[in-house]
Amino acid sequence: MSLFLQRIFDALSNGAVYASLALALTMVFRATGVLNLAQGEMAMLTSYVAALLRSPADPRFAASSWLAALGTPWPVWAAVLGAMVAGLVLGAAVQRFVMQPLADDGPLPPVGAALGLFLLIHGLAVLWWGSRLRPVGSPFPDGIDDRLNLLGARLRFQTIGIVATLAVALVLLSLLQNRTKLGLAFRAVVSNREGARMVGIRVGSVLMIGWAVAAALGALGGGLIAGQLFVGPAMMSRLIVFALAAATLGGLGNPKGAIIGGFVFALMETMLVGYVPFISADVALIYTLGVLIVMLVIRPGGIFGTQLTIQTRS
Amino acid sequence: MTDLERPPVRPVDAEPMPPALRRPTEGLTTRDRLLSAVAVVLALIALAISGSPLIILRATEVAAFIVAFSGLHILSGRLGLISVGHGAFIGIGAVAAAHAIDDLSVPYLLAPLAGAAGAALFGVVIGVPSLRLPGSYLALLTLAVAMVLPIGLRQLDGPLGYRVEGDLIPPAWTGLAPGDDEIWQFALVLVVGAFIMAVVHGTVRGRFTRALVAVRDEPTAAAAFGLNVARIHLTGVAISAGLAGAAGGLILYASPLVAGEQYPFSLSVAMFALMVALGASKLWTSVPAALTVVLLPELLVRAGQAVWEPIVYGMVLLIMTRLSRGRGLVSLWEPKPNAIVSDRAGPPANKRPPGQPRPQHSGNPWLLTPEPPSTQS
Repeated sequence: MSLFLQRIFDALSNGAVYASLALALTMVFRATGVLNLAQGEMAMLTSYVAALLRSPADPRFAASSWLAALGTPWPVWAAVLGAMVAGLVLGAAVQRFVMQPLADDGPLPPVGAALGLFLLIHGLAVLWWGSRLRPVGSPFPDGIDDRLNLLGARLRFQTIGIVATLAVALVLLSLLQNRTKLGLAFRAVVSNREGARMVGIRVGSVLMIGWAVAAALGALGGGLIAGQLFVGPAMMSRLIVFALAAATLGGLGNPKGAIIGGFVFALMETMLVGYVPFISADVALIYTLGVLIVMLVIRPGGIFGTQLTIQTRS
Repeated sequence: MTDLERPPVRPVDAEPMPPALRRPTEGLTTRDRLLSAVAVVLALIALAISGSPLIILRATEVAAFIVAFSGLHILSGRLGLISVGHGAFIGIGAVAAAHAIDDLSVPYLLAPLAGAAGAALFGVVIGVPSLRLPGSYLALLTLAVAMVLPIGLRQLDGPLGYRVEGDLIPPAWTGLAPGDDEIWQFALVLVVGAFIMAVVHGTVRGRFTRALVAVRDEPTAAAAFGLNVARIHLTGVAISAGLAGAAGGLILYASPLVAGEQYPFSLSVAMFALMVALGASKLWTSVPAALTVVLLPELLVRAGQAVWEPIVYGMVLLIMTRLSRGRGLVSLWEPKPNAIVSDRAGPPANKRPPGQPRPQHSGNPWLLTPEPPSTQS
């Protein structure tokens, strides 16, 4: 029992990160119908920003000379906030300069551009920073003794912190969506773009802000997980598969589904690796894909998918 | 099916096509074509006799990738779907063929067939969910397959990969020395690959491909004409994946080793990038695409600049999607669809001819005068 509980606890922090990435994917998909395959690499890039802010004078970073102007290493939470700001800028720039011009060209160009971004960011990260891993540190106490003992299982403060941060972010996001004029405009654009344009909403700007917020959310996820993993060019290659699976499981375009999907896949991963002897962490990816395909055959719209998910066939 | 059975016929008295719409081969006589074919064959034979084993291996890979790219052409250019995982489908074909040869005692010569069968089966599995979902779902699933396949192959056959136990030895009638295996393998790849491409070339101009295009452009109308949309869609996906799998079998002719590292995620994405960059609408783009996907990494590695490969492909994707609206390099030479129309029809109706003054609004709402320019943005 305590082992089982332990595995649930272990899955929580992964689940929160998958959920944040899946939520970012979902927001973008809902607003623009684009599956941003580069979401993970964008989060990787912003994680590098966090790592840079943590150790600006590190001579192993390219451009360390002018980064030294940033002064002393920032505290972790400030570095993560900095990464989120970088995410806002990056997301807005990607929407404005890459995706917006392709908006009317059918499904192939956005997918192509997203993959192009994926390759470009990945390649540049390897070129500039090499494949060595960088530490960022966790914004929460993560010593060996920083934990709660619950029914014989260890619940680490870090896990609590990550899940709580995600919860706060979600509350803020839903307040933004449901209580502000900007959120109203965003929902209007999502539900009927032409209508929104006619009542005077600046659709382009709203979409840009949507992309920016999504990228910031991904940056938050990346910054949080960077405390557990390290920052490196390949840090997201595994996460993005789980995030894509989670977003699809919840029905692309459904925020609630994306969050639940994130935790479902994290739990499934932990349980498979924990209880099935021949499944290692790598192989869990294969089973994730299998589950995803089976689920799509049974329920093409995802668990929480609406007819809308299926109808946006383009 | 009545419309699909008839090939499209140009009326005899039709105006001559604008030059860009003509096939590049249109003015050639049979003799020209025969001569160029003979020249190509002679060049290939010269390559086989003089080339080092490495060059022959690369040439074999180019031939195999041409077949794989033709699969991508059918999927994207005809059926309008996106696969980001065709490199992985090659790998699936290769591993299926390797195990079919050793475990099911399939003759080595039939490796492309076994590979095609394996990959097509997998393509159907991936294709079924995409029947009822937006096009980007197939991109998502194939992307996931491309990411997962190297792990799967490592899991199946260990980190070093699988080596086929059978051998592909030149039969006595060829008169090749025992050391000249690769020439025989090269010849086999060329013959089988050319055969596959001939079949594809025939199919691409045939009824089935027109059905694919119909399903892509007007699924409802296609269904109304009695086409089984779901079956055609799935068959298209299966054929496309099967061609990639056949390419895997062809590669097996030349190198009996199958390992996850041969079919990494980057290979699949590079294939997708080249397809987007060159244009999926023309079958012949398979040739330059295959040359690039094989030779570019080789050149970059030799120059010690392998880091640049993803950057190059990424930039190519970003620039080409922007420039050509996803229709690729070939489309830049094609006339724009509405350019022809506007040549005949003059300026669009809503555009004021130059020099004519802007019509003034009288202020009387009941007069049929043009609306004043809107004050809202």
